[in-house]
Amino acid sequence: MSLLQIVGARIIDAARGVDSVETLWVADGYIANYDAPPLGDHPIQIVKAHGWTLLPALIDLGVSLKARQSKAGVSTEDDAWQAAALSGGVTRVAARWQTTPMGAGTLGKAPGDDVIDDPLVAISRIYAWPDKCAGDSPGYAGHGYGLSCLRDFAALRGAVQYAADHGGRLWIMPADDGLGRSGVMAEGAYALRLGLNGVPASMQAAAIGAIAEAMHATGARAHIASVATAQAIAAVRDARASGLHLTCDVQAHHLHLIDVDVGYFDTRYRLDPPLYGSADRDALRAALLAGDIDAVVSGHVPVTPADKLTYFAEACAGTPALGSTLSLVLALAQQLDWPLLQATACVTAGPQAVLDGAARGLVPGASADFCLVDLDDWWQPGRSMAMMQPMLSPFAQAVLPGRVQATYVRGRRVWESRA
Amino acid sequence: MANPQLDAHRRLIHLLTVEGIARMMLSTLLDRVDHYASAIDTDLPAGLVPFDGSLVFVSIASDVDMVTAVSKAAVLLGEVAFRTIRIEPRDAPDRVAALAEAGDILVLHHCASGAAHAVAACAQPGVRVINICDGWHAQPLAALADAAALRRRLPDLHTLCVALVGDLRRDARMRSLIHVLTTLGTPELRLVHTDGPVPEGAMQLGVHASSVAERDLAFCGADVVLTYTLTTPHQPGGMVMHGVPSGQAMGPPVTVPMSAAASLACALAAVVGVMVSP
Repeated sequence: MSLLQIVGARIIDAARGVDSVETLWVADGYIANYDAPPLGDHPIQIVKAHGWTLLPALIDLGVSLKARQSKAGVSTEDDAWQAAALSGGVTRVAARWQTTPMGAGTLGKAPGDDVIDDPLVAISRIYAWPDKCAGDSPGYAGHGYGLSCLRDFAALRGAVQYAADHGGRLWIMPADDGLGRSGVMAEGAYALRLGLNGVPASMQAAAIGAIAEAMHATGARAHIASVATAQAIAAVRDARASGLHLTCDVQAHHLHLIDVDVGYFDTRYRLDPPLYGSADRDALRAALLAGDIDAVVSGHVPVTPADKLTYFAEACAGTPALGSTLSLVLALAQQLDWPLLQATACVTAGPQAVLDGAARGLVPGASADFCLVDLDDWWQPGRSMAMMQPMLSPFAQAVLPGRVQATYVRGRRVWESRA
Repeated sequence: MANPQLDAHRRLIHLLTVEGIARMMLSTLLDRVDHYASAIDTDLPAGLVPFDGSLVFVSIASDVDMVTAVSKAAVLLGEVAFRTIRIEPRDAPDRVAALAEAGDILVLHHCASGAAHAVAACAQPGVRVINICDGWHAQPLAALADAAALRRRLPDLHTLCVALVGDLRRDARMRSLIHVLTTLGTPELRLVHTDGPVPEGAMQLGVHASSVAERDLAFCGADVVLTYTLTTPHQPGGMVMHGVPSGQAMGPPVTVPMSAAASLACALAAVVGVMVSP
């Protein structure tokens, strides 16, 4: 047995409600104990983490990955996303594949299964309806992505029914082709000024209403991805109040940015869903503080400079964001004077509860997946060597708090800051 | 956020939209438009400007009025060289920007909102971009020409009540004129939106917007009515000026002595004049 001892770190584990300085013992990749060492005489590797904070590894529920077909099978296009994720302390993602390669759609099989035998970053896959997969299959997060909620109500009901029948979960971004897909930014005064097509703020709420209606008869579970407006939050609250098993997440961008940040047609701010006004951002923040939002996600989309070096309406929606979510949440916690225990819950315990039904945290016996963070350090995403295309991020020039110093997967240090 | 149209000394380096241009500069531009308008009939240079480059008219469509306007502007500026290049809407902004060399003025007509900003961001130093039309976003030259025509007829813009009729969402020319008039201090702008319900955010543009059903109310007491029509998508539309003689209803169209191409040429020459003047 090999032992790892983390000494001096402030451990913030939202799932267990712990925020204190403790010594963590890891044995053979699993959490062994706190403070007292495990019995027996074993070699010990000591990590001195005084002044740093130990968090359970982050889980990111909103990631897009590019897929590629090769002789070896289907894999993610490259592994740069793994380095980016680990640099932000993320060791598990719920991802949708941006392109559907040949062979996808096979029941129970994710494209990544062929190549990534033992990935450092675990992938739970979100299937785009009508691709489906039973709820108890390994690596299943949900299905239904890309479904038009209002225009194709029959398909929506089909996806909900499938979720109910197979123990699955509808995982859906509340959008609709007819109501908003030709829009490239939030409808309102600024879109009018810029001469751009707007997506009405009511679209998400209307789509959530349709999802709730489809769910009522079946008792299926659903996860609403990337809630972006005040009306949508209200619709989620209403659906929950009526007894539906509904969870939701918000992209970190929508907690910080608003539509006027688009400025002079800055394509880095072309996001999906688009950025709405300050009232919507404030409503999202209030809902997050009130516990109405289960998780904060990165909304990562692997874009290239060519995707963004074009006219605003033509630019690819989305931004590279893997690796920056924790710092954006910490920045929000500083602005809102939000206790770290609650703030970190939305990137650790919250998403774990969405995926697994309950958050365990770093209890003895759990896999030793955690990260060490220097909360007093600051960094600039634009200078990050680990993030993918960091200059295409809206936060490229921002200075963000909280630098991840090291990330551990199954007790093994898999990423370390060089700064 | 720095205005990409102005340099560090707040001089005009590009004309992408009329938003964010100071009242004094707008007045200077309108004075120059009037200057060229008085000289347009003679087809002679109306005052040489120190400009060695050429006018490069880059367009997604062969619009006769626009080509005529650029050629007339070249004459007004003193036989400045000009050339016309046709592009595809999908051409990336850096490729479009590369069509002009340092010292040139790139006059852009595009169908994408924000195209002028994207091209200006990619342009090499020394290239100036003038936006003739970028989709639904802006038509600053036509708006300057319209404002100048309005000012010639009713000089006290800061006392007027102006009624506008048109599609607020799609008509970039009308929206650009709204920006010009609000900057110049026109106290009351009433808008009759002709395409469905009034778009969200109309109030923030500084207009009292109403639907077609309330048009008579909008015209009541107005000094002038400007009616805007769109032709095809992404093509500049037309403007007709009406007096309101009885103070109640829209009167017959006011005769405007200049053609659309000629007024656009005056506006283009005026902008180039302001840009290259020392």
